Order: sequence, then structure tokens, then C-alpha cells
Amino acid sequence: MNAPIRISPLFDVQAPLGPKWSHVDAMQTPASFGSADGAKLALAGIGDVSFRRRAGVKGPGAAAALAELGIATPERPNSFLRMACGTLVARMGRTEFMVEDAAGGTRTAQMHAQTPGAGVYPVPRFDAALVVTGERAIELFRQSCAFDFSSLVLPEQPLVMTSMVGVGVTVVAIDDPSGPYYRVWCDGTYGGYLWATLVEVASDLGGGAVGLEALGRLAQ
Amino acid sequence: MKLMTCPINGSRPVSEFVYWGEIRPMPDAATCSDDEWADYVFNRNGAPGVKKEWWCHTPSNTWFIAERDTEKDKVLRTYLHGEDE
Amino acid sequence: MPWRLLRFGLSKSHPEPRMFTAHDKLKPSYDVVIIGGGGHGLASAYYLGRDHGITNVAVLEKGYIGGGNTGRNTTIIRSNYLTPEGVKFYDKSVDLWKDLSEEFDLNLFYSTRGHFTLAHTDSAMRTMRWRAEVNKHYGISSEVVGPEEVKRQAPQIDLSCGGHAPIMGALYHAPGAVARHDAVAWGYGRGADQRGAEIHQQTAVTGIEVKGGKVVGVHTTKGFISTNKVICAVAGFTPRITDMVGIKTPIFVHPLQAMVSEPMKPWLDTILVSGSLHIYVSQSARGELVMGASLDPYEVQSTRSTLDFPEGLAAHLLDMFPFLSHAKVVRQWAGMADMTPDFAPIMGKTAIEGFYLDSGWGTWGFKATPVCGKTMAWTVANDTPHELITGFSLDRFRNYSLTGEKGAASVGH
Ligand SMILES: Cc1cc2nc3c(=O)[nH]c(=O)nc-3n(C[C@H](O)[C@H](O)[C@H](O)COP(=O)(O)OP(=O)(O)OC[C@H]3O[C@@H](n4cnc5c(N)ncnc54)[C@H](O)[C@@H]3O)c2cc1C
Repeated sequence: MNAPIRISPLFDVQAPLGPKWSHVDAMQTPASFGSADGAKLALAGIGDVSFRRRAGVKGPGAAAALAELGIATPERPNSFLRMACGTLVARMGRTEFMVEDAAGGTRTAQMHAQTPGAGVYPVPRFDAALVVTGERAIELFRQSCAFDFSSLVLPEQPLVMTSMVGVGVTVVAIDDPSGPYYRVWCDGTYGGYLWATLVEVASDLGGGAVGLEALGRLAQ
Repeated sequence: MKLMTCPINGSRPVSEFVYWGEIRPMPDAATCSDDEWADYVFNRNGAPGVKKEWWCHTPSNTWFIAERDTEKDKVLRTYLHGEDE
Repeated sequence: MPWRLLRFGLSKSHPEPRMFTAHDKLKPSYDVVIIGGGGHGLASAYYLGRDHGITNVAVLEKGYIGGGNTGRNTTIIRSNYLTPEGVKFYDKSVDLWKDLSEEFDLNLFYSTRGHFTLAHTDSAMRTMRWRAEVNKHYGISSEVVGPEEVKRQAPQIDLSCGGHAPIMGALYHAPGAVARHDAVAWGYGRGADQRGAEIHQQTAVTGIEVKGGKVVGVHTTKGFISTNKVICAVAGFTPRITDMVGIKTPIFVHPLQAMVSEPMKPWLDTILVSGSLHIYVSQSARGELVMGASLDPYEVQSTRSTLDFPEGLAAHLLDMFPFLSHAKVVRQWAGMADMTPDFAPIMGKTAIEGFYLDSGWGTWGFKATPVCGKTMAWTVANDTPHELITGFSLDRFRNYSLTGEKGAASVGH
């Protein structure tokens, strides 16, 4: 195994739980917290996908700059799309975008290499990125956030920027045959606090921290 | 819970926003007198009324303008800068 | 005591005189008109009579005596401020407080408790050391203490504050005190009344007449009165009055809220303030915890209160005192705080001759009530700012010479 060169913003709060580790995209990430991961996943699972590579861009020229690289952008503000290659493209507000590579993807590397033109402002991203799963996920959000996630229309691929346990977060709701699940991003410096608080609430609902093995394709 | 409507993100609890004070035109620093500049820096329209204020939705960093009655704490309307019909 | 009560019960005519005379009508003119029947206005009337023999004075109050911030504050009295101007001024006030009960023959329940300003960060510790040095230089009891001293005086405290904000130390100010706020208004009111000043409740000022840059009279809901001297002591209403004479000020008005718990057995003798947790707490003589926080985050010109306030305050209080999780909140309220950019007041003469300001008292003016009355009376009687208030003039904003008190007043008040 190679030594990790990137450290998850959640490492300090995860390490005391002694998970089994794996290295993905050069980041040390929990593979499993134990045999109960699967059961937690079904109720209220909190996973860590901070290792995904991402890049942000904003400004009036942002959409055109992405188009130049062949990156599709969602039509409506506050929505997201998934490209055929698996790249996730989130549109926040009118002229701000965040792109997250699929496993092995190079879109964000291309964005970093691009020289920004007029009206294009790269936004460095240092996110903690979570996956929230399970049939009680909505309850978890109800206890941690004033926004009503049950009001979202999933086929519209909605994106919400709100405040969760006092932390500014970006959330997308993903429709899945196994039931809806959520991706949550926040500034990495608040990540440990957000993760620990959500895991605590999730535990009350029968869930908790889950590793990559249980997440499977939901980690995508 | 007091609600505020962000022109982009919709209606949210006021705790998601920060207030940045009444919109005040800035005098031209190169030509105005010292007194005019001090007046701009410090003095405020402290009496109640319907005021145009800067607000920001912090999770998305959306700056916008709210017209608010500061005595009744009633928001009359909100819009983005430059989109005031 | 019960005998005295019995005498009250049995007497046909009330045996005790009322606190002060009720006047049906305003006179056509007064030497000095004071707008605002809060502690500051009433104290000014009192010292005008007592120290300067000026007794043809009217105090005009649109509501009732002490119904403004005087009766809404959390009564903390202290002098451990940050600037030399502030420290000298508030220290004089603490001196005056001590004799007031006797002077008024009225129990103000002035109670010296000691006052801790907790520091949870290195930078807060630095501010505490700075304040302690300024304070000691002016002879004020003020010192930096370690967490163990906090624990000794408040044994129930969780020094780690739930692990979020461990207490590193504190600024300790032994003279920190609390008092009964409405008694202060009533004491000064009665004293002023006995010396000849008239107190008119339910009388609002609606306009101020200025001719040739000088005050000539005041319009009220009960008619016009002529006068050459007006003291404006209306706290959160200040901008409405300064608009009447066309004076611009930096004052902006935000609500400040407070709440009390159900009464409990005495367990907290001292006063605790934490800037990082945005909270301060003391226990009143009745056993209630009196709690407050920092200013509301945006301008509102009314005394509405919010649910966000007790929620946030309770969360932080539980960090400090987890055992209070079952305590009930029984009341909450708000006052309109007249804030200034440097957290120091605006006092003294203005560009309009005969118009004197006692304002910008924001969230910290209760403790200053005696010294404000005394220095405002002196300033009006001599038409020259009293030496203790020269650092607080409105002019300082034109000259960029601010009196920065934020480090000592933003949460501690
Ligand atoms: C919740 C809260 C907590 C506080 N805690 C503290 C503390 O712990 N320590 C501290 O030192 N300070 C504290 N303060 C600040 C302190 O209460 C005030 O600075 C102080 O009481 C101001 O007194 P005042 O007499 O100037 O004003 P007020 O008591 O507000 O009196 C002004 C009066 O003017 C009247 N008025 C207004 N307009 C007119 C008009 N047009 N005509 C006639 N009358 C008019 C009003 O009705 C009012 O009664 C606190 C304030 C609040 C709101």
C-alpha cells in the first residue's frame, strides 16, 4: 500500500473509532467500521468520500469555460447532473459550479490546468464530503437542519445550500433504485464537527458511521 | 422561526443569513471634504423606517437586497442587486 | 414589618406619601427639560437640584418611569473597562452607587458579587491581561486568574465547557455588583421630586423648536413648553429625537434580549461572563438566574423577542452548567439598545446650543446611571462638558478619535 499523501478532514474524528482503512485516490479512508455497517447503511449511514477529486469555478464565463473542456452543466441553478463518465457537476446559484471526478476521472485535473479567461474564477475546494443513506436519513436531517428535505422533487436532481447543525453545507439528493440517498459537502475545517454530530444523531436512529465496503456504488 | 427569502435559494430561517446594514451611497473619496467622508464612515440613519439593506445567504454566499420595515421587522421584498424593476 | 403592613391595611387614608407628586399640567416654561424618564433622565434631574440648585425642571416620559432599558437590563455594575476614559468614568459610578441606598432611604439591593470575564482562547487571555493592566493603573481591583479560581467560586462549572471551549483563565473584578433596577429609577425620581423637579409620565416629546441654532422650546403630546435647555436621555429612541433637531449621529439600534429562569436555591454567588460563548449569568436575590447574550444580529426598532435567543443562550449555558438541563425559563424580553461604533457613549454638548445628549448607552449604561446624572447635571449647569465626559463627545467621530471599548463591552455590557 502506498503512503497516503492526502489526509481526509475527517481523519482526526474517525481514527479513534479504529476503522479498517483503505487508500483511495491517495487518501486514507475508512473501508469498514465493523460488521454492523450494512445494517446502519439501511437506516442512517454516514460515509466519507472526501477523497474524490473536485474543483470549483465561478463567474459569468464559468459555464462556457466548462463547456470548452467538454463538461456538461445543469440548466437550472441549484441542481446537479451526472455525466455518462460518472463525473458529478453541481450548479450552485447562477454562475458557480463544482465538479467532482468519478474514480480515475481527469476532469478536475483538466480544470486545474486551464488558464482562466475573462469572467472565470477558479474556486479551490477543500471539502469534507459525506454520503448520507438509509430510510431514516430524512429524520436525521429534520433533527439537524431547518430545511425540509422531504419537499425535494428527486427527478429534478435538486441541490440545496443550507445550514446543518450551524455549518454551511451543499446537499444533493440522488434518486436510486435502493431509495434516495444524499451527498453533503462542507468546508473541511468544519468537517470533523459535522461528521461527529451527524454520526451521533444517526446512532440514535439505529445508524452511524459506515465504511466504503458497505457503501459500494453509493460512494460514487 | 423568522423566515427570509433569498432570491436564489428561496425561503430560509433568518439564522442562515447575515445582515450588512443599510445601503448607503459612497461619496467620491477623491473630491469630497473630510467632513463628508467622516459622515459617510460613521453616521447612520438610526431612526426606524422602510430601509434597503444588504443581506447575505451564508451557505451559498448570495448577496442581495431586502426592503424591510425596521420597526415591524417585516420584509417587504428581496431581490438581487441590479434586478430592481 | 407585619405591623407596618397592618397599619397600611387598616388606615382610611394611605399613611405613606406616594413616591412622587403627580402633576396634571405642564408649566408654560422650564429652565431645563429632560426627555426620558429612565434612570439617566431622573438622575440628571436629581443632581441638577441637589448639586446645582436648578429645580425648575421637567422630566418628560412618554410611557412610565423606568419602563425603558432601565427596567429591562440585567443590572450588572462594574468598572473594568479598557480605555482610560471609560475606566475613570465607570469607577466614579461604582463609587456613587455605594452610597445611594442611604441617600435615597430606599433599599437598592446593591450586592457586590465579584465578576469573572472568562477567556477561552489565547487572544482573549491577551485582552484580559491588557484590561487588568489598564484597570490596575487607575487603582481598580482587577486581575487575571486561573481556571481553578473560577472553579472555586462557581464549583458547578464544567471548566471544559463541554469540550468545545475550555476555560483558560479569567479577568476577575471583585467590585462587580448587581442592583435592583426599578428601585434606582424610583429612588432618583423621588429625590428629584422632593427637590422640586416635575415628573410627567404619559407625556411624549413630538418636536423640538430651534431658532438661530438655539433650543427655544419643546412640543409634547400635552402642548408646547418653552425652554432653552434640553437633555435627551432616551436610549433606543435617540435617533428619533436627534432627527427632530437635524443632528446626525453614528447611533444604530439593535434589540438586546435577556431572560430569567425559575427561582432556585442560591448556588451562584458570582457574576460570570463569557465572550466566546456569548453569554453572561448571575443569580438574583429572588433566586432566578438572570441571563443575557450579545446583541441581536440586525436592526429592529421595537421590543419584540425571538425564539432563537433562548435556544442559543440555553445551548451555551448548558456547556458551562450541564446540570441546568432541567431548569425552566420563565420570562424573556428585549430592550432597544442605542449602539455606537466604538462601544463608548455619546455625551455632552452638540452643535445645537442648549441641546445636550446622554446617549449611545447601548447595552452597558445601567451601571453608569449615577455618574451620567451627575456629569450631565454639571455639564448643563456650566454649559461646559464635565471633565469625565470629554472623551465621549459626538465630535470624536468627525475627528476620527474614537474611544474603543469593544473589547470590554460587547458581551459583558
Ligand atoms: C436586556 C438588556 C440588558 C442590559 N444589561 C445591562 C447591564 O447588565 N449593565 C449595564 O450597565 N447596562 C445594561 N444594559 C443597558 C442599560 O439598560 C441602558 O443603557 C440604560 O438603562 C439606559 O438608561 P436610560 O435612562 O438612558 O434609558 P431608558 O431607561 O431606556 O429610558 C429612556 C426613556 O425615554 C422615554 N422616551 C423615549 N422617547 C421619548 C419621547 N419622545 N418623549 C418622552 N419620553 C421618551 C422611554 O419611554 C424611556 O422610558 C442592558 C440593556 C438591555 C436592553
